[in-house]
Amino acid sequence: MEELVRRARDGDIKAFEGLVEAYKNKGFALSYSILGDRYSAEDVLQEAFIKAWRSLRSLRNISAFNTWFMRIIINLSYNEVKKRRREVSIDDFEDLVAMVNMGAEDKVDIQKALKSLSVDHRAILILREIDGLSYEEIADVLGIPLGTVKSRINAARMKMREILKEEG
Amino acid sequence: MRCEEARSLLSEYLDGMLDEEAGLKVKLHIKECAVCMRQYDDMLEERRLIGLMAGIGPSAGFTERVMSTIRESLNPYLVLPVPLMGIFALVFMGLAMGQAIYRLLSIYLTVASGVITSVLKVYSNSIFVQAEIISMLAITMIALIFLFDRLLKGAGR
Ligand SMILES: [Zn+2]
Repeated sequence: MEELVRRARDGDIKAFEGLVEAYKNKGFALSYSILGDRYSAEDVLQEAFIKAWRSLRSLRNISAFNTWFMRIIINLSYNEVKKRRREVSIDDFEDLVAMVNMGAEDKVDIQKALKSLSVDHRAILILREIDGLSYEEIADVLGIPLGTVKSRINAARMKMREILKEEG
Repeated sequence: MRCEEARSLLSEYLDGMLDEEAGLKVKLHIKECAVCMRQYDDMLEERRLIGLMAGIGPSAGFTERVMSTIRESLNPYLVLPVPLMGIFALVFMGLAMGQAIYRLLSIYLTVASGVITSVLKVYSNSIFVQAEIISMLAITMIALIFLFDRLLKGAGR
């Protein structure tokens, strides 16, 4: 993977295409969890990849690509959320149902949890569980202290537990 | 260890973030305490649920759409020499009728500009393409010098 990042940084479009393939699902889970509908999630993800391609040359530490890219997605997604405060919110995770192959009960649970969690809680859980980032990496990506990462993950899990407990 | 303390550490315990001593204490506590064990199981279930999100992804053709947007936005300064070389090629064609060397050069430039255009679509701003463009320009300059040399000799006669 590092070889792919190195070649892409040196301007190899084919290598960058490999990175898009490798990171599109992880990145999508992140933007989708923040934004809540697949269309804006996809738009933001595309924008993030284009931004990454343009600024890849400034990436000094190749092994930091993962966190660097996640930070781009986070920033673009949060910008979109800010813009949207003034607009009507869209789907709210409805289209998750169409996307994944999972049991009906699980779908209901995930939708319920995502809908009720705050944006910050959703983002941090995805960074941890889907992107597999360490606490230090999450602190770096979100620009918050390590102590806040610990307490926020804990709070997000507590909150999710509460939500899933409601009405059985 | 009390329940309250154990529960505040469960999340970090799940992520393997506790040091050995604290980890062991939590482990022993949840072994003994059914209530905290239940809470730990709930967290494992949450992890499984969130993990299912790994199965989602952008719609089909996403990679192609991203890549074609990127190819369209290639640096214009790198693509610029290509049409310039085409013009040089035409000038040579016109001026160097009958001279095999110029004819060869103009064919070379026409072919090379085509090759570079397609290489650019794949590799964009790689060092390889930059070197190729520089060598193309060098060949063009040498050819120009030849041409002027010939014209001057023609004028001197
Ligand atoms: Zn207990």
